[in-house]
Amino acid sequence: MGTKFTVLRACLAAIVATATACGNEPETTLPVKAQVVTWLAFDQASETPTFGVREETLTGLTDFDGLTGAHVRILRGGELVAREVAGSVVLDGRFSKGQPPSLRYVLDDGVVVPRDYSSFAMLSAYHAFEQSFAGVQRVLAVGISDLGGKAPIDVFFEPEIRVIGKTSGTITQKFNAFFVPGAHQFGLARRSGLERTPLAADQMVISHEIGHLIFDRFFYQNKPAKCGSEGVPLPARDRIGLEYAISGINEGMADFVSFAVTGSTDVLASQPKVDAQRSLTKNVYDFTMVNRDCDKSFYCVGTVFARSLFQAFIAQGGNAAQEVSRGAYGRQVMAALEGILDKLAARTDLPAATDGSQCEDRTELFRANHDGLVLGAFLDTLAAQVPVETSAALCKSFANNFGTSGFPNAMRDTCKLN
Amino acid sequence: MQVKLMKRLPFVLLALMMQTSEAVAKPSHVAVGAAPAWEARSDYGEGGRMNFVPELLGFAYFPTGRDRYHLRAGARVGLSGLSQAEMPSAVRIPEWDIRPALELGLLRDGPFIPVLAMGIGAIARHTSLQTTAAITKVDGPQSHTELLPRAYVHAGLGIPLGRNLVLEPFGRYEVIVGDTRSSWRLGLDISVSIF
Repeated sequence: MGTKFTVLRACLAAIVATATACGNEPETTLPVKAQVVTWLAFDQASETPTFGVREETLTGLTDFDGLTGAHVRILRGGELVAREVAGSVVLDGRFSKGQPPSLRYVLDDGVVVPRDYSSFAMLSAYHAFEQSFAGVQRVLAVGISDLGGKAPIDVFFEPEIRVIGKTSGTITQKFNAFFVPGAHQFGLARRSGLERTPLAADQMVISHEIGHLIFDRFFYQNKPAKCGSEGVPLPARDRIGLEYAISGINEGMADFVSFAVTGSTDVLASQPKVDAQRSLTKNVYDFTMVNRDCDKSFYCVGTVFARSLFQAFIAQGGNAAQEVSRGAYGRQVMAALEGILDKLAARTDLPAATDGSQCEDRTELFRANHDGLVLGAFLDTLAAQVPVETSAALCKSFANNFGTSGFPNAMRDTCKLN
Repeated sequence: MQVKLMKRLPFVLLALMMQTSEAVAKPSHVAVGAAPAWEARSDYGEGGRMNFVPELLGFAYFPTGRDRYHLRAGARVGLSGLSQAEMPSAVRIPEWDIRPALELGLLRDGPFIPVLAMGIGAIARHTSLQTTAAITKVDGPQSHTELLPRAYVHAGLGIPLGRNLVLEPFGRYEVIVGDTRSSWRLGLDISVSIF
């Protein structure tokens, strides 16, 4: 059957090719300039980003047809098989079956001009990733080689998702981008009319996803926590790594990386129908109001955490508009993440897990007392691993935002002194 | 009464078809019509959608000299763009196609009329970059028109209804040079003999 269609297709192509000399793809030579949609700037006073369609050089590109560069390779489609997809972190998952981009374009004065939206979005996504990785290197001094895993990293454009966890089925996810720890891959969910500007081309969003990669490297040390079997106790490291509170911290750190790289205080500021719950400046809910005034599950914990980092930065005299200022502070925070998970796993004062299979719990179950203890231990350890003056500012900010329920007194060792 | 009619309906339809193979069996004649059709199109990274591509068509029938076999020369013009792939609201690249084609087929007349045809044509495609106020600056070309050659194989099964009307469900496999997103199409040719 397949051979017949190949022959049929070849025959039809031969007829068309004979009838016309058209159809040759234009030749491109590196470096390539392409028309892309790109994030331009973020106005902090109004928390408004600006975007443009511009002719940009695709930096780092080594293979144009394969959209492969120093940091990423864009693959069309593919399938993600995962135990769970919640938010932008995938648990126990891996992408496969991605295809080369098959870009459709024309050359206009040497500039690649896409002829359809998919080509436009893939070129724009490549540009956003390269710019974001360059920003991470420039601002946080973290290069691709510091992040472990292979490079370039595969980015799957509009894949299909097959979930094989507590719930199972094939889904087409929209309005999302994700990072797959362990497999060390990124995914860009299918575009839709729910988006105003394309998430795949939004450096605020892409920097957030790279923030998950950074968290994977520094907090998990490239060994992401794994789910266990029902009723089988997990090793302490996996159990802590899968906690709901840690999922929130992961999201908050990703928002903080986005802030450090782009200066954005609201990673979703470009999107419609998204209220200010991700804003680091407008929001007023604290930990006690999670699941009450904030309905974004563990993301709420993340925003409280990111806002704590932001406020400590401002309290220290940091200038949010200055990349150098954000970078100096951001580097301290990134470095402080190193080794925290092992320290938490070694503690004996954290609440015990009730079940070995905590994959679903990590994103679905908010338990203020339980999560407060885990968060408190994390926050205090982080404060202990930054320079003294930053530590004082962080302790105050953590206390203000998390209170004694999210940062119990019993967990304050370093911050007791501050 | 209604039940009786329902019971008789298949026989009535069969009788109609039996007698109306004349819809084609006349000497050389011409028919015109339209075809609602949907092409399977890979507009997204993974998966796709059914793209509505209605066509206007015209057929000329010629006897081959062999009993019941006729040549059918056809011309079609399709329109694509009435339904577009999903895109973000602030940045869109809608595609509009006019798709003319000429085809030549062979059919065997009877109560059902199998048709096999091949066609060549082109796609005149207009794309335009559309942005809203969320995009503050736009550089570079904002619209483009291109001509894409194409060829196809068409297989259909005509069902004559009445003396002049033929309904022909069809499947079509198409190759478009420079665009591999779509290849299969399903539709229904509806043609009426005019002289």
